[in-house]
Amino acid sequence: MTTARTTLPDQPETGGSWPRQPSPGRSDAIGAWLDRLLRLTRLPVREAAEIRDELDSHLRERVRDLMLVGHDEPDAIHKSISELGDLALLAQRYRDANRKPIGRMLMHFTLITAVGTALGLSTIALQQSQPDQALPTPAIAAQPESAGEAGHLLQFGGPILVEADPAAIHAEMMRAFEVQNLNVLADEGILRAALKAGPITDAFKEMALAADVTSSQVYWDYLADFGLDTESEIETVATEGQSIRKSFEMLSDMLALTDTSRLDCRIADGLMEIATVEFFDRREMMLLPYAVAILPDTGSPLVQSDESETLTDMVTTLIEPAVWEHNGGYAAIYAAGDRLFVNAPLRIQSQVGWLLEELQRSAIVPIDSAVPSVPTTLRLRATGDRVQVELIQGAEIQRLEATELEIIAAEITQLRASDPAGSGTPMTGGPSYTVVPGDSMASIAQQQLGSASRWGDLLAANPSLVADPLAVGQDLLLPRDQSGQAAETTPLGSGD
Amino acid sequence: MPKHTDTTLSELVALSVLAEESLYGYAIAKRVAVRSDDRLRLTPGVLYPLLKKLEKAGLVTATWESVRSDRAEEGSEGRRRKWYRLSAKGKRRLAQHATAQRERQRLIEVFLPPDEPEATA
Repeated sequence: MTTARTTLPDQPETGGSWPRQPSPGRSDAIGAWLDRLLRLTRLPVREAAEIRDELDSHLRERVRDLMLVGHDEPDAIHKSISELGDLALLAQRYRDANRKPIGRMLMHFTLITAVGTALGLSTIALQQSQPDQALPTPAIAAQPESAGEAGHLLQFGGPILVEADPAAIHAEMMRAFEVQNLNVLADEGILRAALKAGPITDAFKEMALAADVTSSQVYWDYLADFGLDTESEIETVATEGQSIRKSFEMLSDMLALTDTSRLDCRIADGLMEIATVEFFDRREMMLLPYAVAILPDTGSPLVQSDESETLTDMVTTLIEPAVWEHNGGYAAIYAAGDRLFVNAPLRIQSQVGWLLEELQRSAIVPIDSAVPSVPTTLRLRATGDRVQVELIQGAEIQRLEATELEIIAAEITQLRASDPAGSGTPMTGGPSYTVVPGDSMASIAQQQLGSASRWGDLLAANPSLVADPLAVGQDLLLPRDQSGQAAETTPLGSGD
Repeated sequence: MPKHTDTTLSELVALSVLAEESLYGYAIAKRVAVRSDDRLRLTPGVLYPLLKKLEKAGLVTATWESVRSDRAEEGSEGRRRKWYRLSAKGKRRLAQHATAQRERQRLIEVFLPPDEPEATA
């Protein structure tokens, strides 16, 4: 990452003279500046190329105009580049402009609550970053000492631009959510070259390249069970441009690996681990109790002498049969009293939770919706510069999309601040609304609060809400209307 | 909130210029300066990302055209310009902006102190 400490990128930092290059060098100065800008935007190649063309065209025309009014060439170049303003800020604006609306909306509402502690967070992140890691220009980075900078943050409208050590942010997030585990699962990296016929080790190398990791670890001991070792050869499997995930699927198919013997990977902290699904499952096992009250005599097919046994049958038949103990797997399910205990990896737990909820909705099996306090896991799925965060509390998965880790930082502070006392929105004794089929956050906000874009207020008033999808029958607390704010809080410009 | 107003205003201005005529970025900035007698500047650092945002939101459509230079300019071969055109959705958005802005002005008017003439009574 390049450092943009000054707004005039060509200003001499070492006291040397301005490189007054003759015309042939002109394109170098502009080209170099554009290179740095585009690297900072971290946008896909095609978008970046378009931005480059447009700005290049602008700069050349501007230089020409300036020279027409008497500037000499180097001055004209200097001036036209500086008119574009701070490099990092411009990159940030391009990133903002490129976000999908939901991302921007999330950003919008988290900013309202993210200010104070966000500043604290950025301090931590900055302090823990490596000395040679690029820091944004001071104009953008939060100045932790002065609370007055809060207004400064809002002014930029974006999250804090912090190029910090990802490990530091992970650590902070783990603390914030009191999580026990933090996994970055297989990312959707793209293969840069085909997985050709040859040693399997080459294929793994190619995957590691696609995942942008610095090292990889293959658990050969486990793969040996399936006849794989470092000398194994494969046939051509995946073509360039395919995702890592897909490639592992195809590789597993080719090697005739099924169910939990399929190959999988985990990517965290620059390391890619390659093993089987079972290997990672065993590492990610968790024991969860689900409270299940069985209604006798419902007249449904489930009425049997031992309904709980029927329920476990249903779960183990519908959800990855091969993973369960009685089918030769490693996941266990046991009903005792009004509790269903499931000892299974995370990915299975989420399906179990979903299935039970569906059963509840179908009114066959009423389920006590209170899931007791369970370990929380935060899961990050990284795709280039996009990160999807899954906050898993028991069987409930709350998905947060973020295009930058900094947005996650803002999310944390929002979740931290989401107790009623701190949210600033009066919640006691307010009116409430019950969700009906067809409702969405936006439609409810429109109906109840007068504007669809006030869904952020709705979310702030219901901190534990899982916004997508809404559960029918759910009660939402409506925020008390802030007087005189109707006009202010109806942004016409942003997002649609 | 300051930023909020800036974006809205910039958007309003950009859409308004494009309502008159389809233009490319640099020309839009020049047009803004000209129409406002140089009192309003839509700087490139704000304008270009804004145009990208408008494009992403479907308020404008963009097409690339090759620039044919009338004089020999180094590096001008194969250069292209991005032209912006207001879409139907953009027209509607501009109308919304206009309505809201007029409303805002009417509202603010109520709170502005009267414009006192220089001479004392």
